[in-house]
Amino acid sequence: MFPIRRGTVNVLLIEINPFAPASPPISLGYISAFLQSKGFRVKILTLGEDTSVSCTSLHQLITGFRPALVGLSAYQRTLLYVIGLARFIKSVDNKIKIAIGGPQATFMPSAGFAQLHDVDYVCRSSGEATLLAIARAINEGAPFSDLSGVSYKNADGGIHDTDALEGFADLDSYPSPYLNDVFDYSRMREAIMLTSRGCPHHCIYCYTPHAFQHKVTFHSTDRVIEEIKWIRKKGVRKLWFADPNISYKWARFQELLDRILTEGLETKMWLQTRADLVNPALMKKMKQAGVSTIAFGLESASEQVMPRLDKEVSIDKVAEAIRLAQSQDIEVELFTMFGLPYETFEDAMITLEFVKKNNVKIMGNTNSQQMQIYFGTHMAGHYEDYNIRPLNTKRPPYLSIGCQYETDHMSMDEINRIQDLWRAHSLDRGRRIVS
Amino acid sequence: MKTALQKIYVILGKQDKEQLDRLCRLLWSLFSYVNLTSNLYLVSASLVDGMSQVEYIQKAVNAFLRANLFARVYVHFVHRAPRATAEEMDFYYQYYYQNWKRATREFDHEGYMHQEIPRLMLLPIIVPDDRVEPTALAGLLGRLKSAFMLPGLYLDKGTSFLARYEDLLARVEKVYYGHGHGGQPADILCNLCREDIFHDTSAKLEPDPVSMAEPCPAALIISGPEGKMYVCVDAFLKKESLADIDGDLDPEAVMARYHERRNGQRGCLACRERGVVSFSDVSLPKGATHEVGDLLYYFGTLHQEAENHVQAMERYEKSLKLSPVEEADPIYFRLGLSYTKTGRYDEALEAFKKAEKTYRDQYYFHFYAGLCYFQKGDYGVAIEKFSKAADMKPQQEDMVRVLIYMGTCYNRLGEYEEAVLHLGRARHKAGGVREIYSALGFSYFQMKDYDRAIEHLKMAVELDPHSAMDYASLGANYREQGDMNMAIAMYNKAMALDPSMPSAKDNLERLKKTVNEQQLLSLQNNLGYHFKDIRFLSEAVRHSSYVNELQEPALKDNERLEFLGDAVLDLVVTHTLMNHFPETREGDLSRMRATIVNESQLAMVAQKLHLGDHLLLGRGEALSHGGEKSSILADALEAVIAAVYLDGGLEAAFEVVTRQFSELMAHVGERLLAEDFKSRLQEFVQAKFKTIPQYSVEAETGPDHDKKFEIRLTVGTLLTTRGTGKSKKAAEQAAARVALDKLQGDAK
Repeated sequence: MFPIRRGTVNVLLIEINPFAPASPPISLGYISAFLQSKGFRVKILTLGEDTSVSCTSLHQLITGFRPALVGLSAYQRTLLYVIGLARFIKSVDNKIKIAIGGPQATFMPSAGFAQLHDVDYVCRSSGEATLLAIARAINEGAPFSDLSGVSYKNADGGIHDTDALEGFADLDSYPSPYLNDVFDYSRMREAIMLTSRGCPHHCIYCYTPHAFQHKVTFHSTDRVIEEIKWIRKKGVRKLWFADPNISYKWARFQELLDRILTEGLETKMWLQTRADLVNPALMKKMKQAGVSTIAFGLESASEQVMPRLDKEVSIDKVAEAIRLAQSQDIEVELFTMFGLPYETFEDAMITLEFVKKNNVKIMGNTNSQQMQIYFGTHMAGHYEDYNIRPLNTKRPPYLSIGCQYETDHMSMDEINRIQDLWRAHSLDRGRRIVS
Repeated sequence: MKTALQKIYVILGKQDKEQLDRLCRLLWSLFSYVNLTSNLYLVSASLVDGMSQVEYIQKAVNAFLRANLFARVYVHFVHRAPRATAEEMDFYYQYYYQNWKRATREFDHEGYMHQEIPRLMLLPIIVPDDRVEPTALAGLLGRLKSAFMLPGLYLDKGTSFLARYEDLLARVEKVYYGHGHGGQPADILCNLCREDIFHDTSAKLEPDPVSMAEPCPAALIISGPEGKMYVCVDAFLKKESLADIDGDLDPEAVMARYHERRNGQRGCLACRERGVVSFSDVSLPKGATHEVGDLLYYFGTLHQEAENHVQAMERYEKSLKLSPVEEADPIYFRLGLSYTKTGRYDEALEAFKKAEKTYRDQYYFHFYAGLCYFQKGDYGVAIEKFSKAADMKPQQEDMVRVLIYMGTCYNRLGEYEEAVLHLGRARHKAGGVREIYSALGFSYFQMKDYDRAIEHLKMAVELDPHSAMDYASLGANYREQGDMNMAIAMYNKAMALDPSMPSAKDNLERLKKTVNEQQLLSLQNNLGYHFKDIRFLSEAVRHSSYVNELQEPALKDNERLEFLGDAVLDLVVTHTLMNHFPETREGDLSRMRATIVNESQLAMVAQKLHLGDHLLLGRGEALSHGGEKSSILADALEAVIAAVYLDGGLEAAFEVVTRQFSELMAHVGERLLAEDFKSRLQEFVQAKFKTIPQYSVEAETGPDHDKKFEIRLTVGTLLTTRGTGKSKKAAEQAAARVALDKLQGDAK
């Protein structure tokens, strides 16, 4: 698909999240391994709340590494920082091209992109493929030619959208960030694994199925086992599986657990899946393989809200999955949201009570949060249909509604009240681990 | 990338416009070096004095944030709360805080509220007075919180009572704790720094305690009143400033020096410990108290590993007061170990008892308890504990230790067969441990099986040639076997290895004394005189070479006695000759005495007495067979005679000399006639040939102690003869005898 060329330009990939400690950015890791395999020199910079970086050291990094292309992961809540970094990088060297990717970029309207003055590209397809194309174009001295899967801004500021670009259906085609030692293992406490991408479901609030066209692609179990062995060899003894539904293919997941057990690779693991994708035998095996925590998406425990989210998981099923996990002494986390369409304050309270009743500790990921309305979701384009009223109609077009809304069923005041109630019940004052 | 500054602490001085300008310029230049998320603490003595300066500095912060959209700053304004009524508090809020908040409003709406926390946070830290009215303070805190200036509360000993007011705490974002009462801004700043260090240290404890030796989170302290900057709180307290804030500052150079100092710091672990200790007497919430307890325990283990048991115990004892009951067992156990190491066995046993629930299934728990009883001398209980440890099947190395202690306990109890049994088991498991052979040596010694004892002790010194104690034990065994020389040799080795070993020194001296006394007893028998005070005889056999070698000023050699003995001998011999030869003239008597009292005759008498065997000689003299030398023997005999004289008076001396010299004196006349060939030859030659014989030494051969002389005798041209002897005199006599025989034969 891509002819192998020897790259000469340097690529800097940055993930900034000042609200949480830095963790290995798995997506940037994949892009880095891929670009490196094509001959580019790549550096990853992770800026978390615990990263020690100043303007001076950032300046030194840029002038020292001299990237021709900087790729930035963009999320709703970090976009301000991404804009700031882009401005800073351009102020150091205006010739550096800047691309943004990630959830906030994929479906960002062109009008929004137009207002991001220091951003040259928006990646809308597979990160590996689109950034390779951009890097090659820059390397060839024609930064906007032969591109696909991106929107770009030419010298005149005009926005151009290119054709969509498909990533590899077989994830093993992407080099492993772990096997290629992209990350620094010396301070890595847990490794984030991504054994599959995408989701086939249709939850109305979720961005992921749309980004992957409701398809799911996989790594082979051989590749995952090889990575686990390597990671263990490097001294990391905790794995965090970021797959949206790791047990989506039962047989594959069982095979993975069997191999972990037979090859003596038992490791402390965190994973997430749907409540309807577990059974007693699987749960028992998970426990044996080292799964310490399992997270399920509950979203709402209200019978009048849940069916309208198109999640197609019953509340009873979630309760059953919780019991299954707890019977195996596996810690349970529940993802929940408030401010959902059709949800009243009383409905939101039912969710809180459900979590308490089922003995799930309210902390970390179980801390509830207000629903976010992202670009690319049906809700973002049709929020009126869901009785949602954005609070600020003057927001710039590069920002989606996010959590700045109230609904016909729940006022902002009520949303704040339920948020305070969750915090009051939280064991860690509402601090969330992942978004 | 170089570490970015995470926190800047500033003590605000007086409201001096020029000084404030300089401070703002400095901060502006330092912002390039702060972390993407950084904290600025502005500490002032009062709200009124401080706020105008804070607002001034805030302008610089705002400008930095506007220029760098990815940066975040938390501004903490730390000030003493005015003692005021609720209404007055409200006024302070309206007049001071609202203006400050207004100046930063732009950052609250930035990014359309999508970011979780604004890039600029105003976090006042209120330092209340100990006479503060809690309700009024709660009112101020509530107003601040509702305006999104999340307040903190600084509590010290005088104001810790406020922690009881839940309504107050519900309105604060964070409570800071300081030790002591009140305090100036510098004290408050130090406590804030220490608390920061404490939290950082606590965070490092779980994942990687080794990283505690690294410097604390990068901070910079600026003292406005002093006009100086400091690398950390330790440097601030020691007044080791980084730079002056006056004048033209090159921030790059200052930061280069900052990193150089930071990286060069060696006392960070100790500083962290001081920080933690400073919180040990502060009234903290339960969770933080437990953290302090955990850290004190950790520092205790560090001291324990470095064998600083006194400090370790201090840390453990404090840790116990602060840790939850369910975590106390490991602390008690560790504390017990340090008590053991410092000889506080009863306290150690008490501590072990408290740790029993957690440790009773661990063999080492019973071992250490046994060790305490062993040290206390309660060997029976010690054996019980050691047995329990042994039953739990410890690792081989530890099992060997347990068995050695058990064996030693049995030795102390006098149950030597049991001791041998246990020590034998230890030897079976580990053949190369000296202590086993040492203890077995003791057991066999006590069982009077000296051969086996010596066999094991020899193994012990083979395994450790520096073990003075085992050499001393060997000495004891040889002594019991009657091999005094080996015994002395072993004690000497022990003393050479450990001159301070009192038992070896005593034993050696006693042994030497015994040997000496035994030897002197046979000498007395030979002499036919038994001393009332043996010290006279001891001195008589002590040659100067021996005394010189020992270098003990109190020890006398035999030379003074020799001087006296010479006179006593002369007197007794002269008196005896006078009695025996009443008709003999003085000249002949003189010659007769000379044939008795001379070196060779005295040496012969000494040899008959085996005096040489009793002589104490220096090492050099002994090596050159000094005990056989005529001169040494003769001198010693004279000293012995003097000793008899001093001990028993002239009568005793008279008897001894008469007895020892009786044979010589009985034949002195004949001997004189028979043996004075020189005189007889001279008389004969003078009378017949009117000349006198001439003697000359022709040869002198042999070592000093065994000389041989050859003398040539001539009588004019008439005759030449030769004679040999051990002395010149004897050789001359021999030559004279040959010449006399020849001349008298010719004459006949």
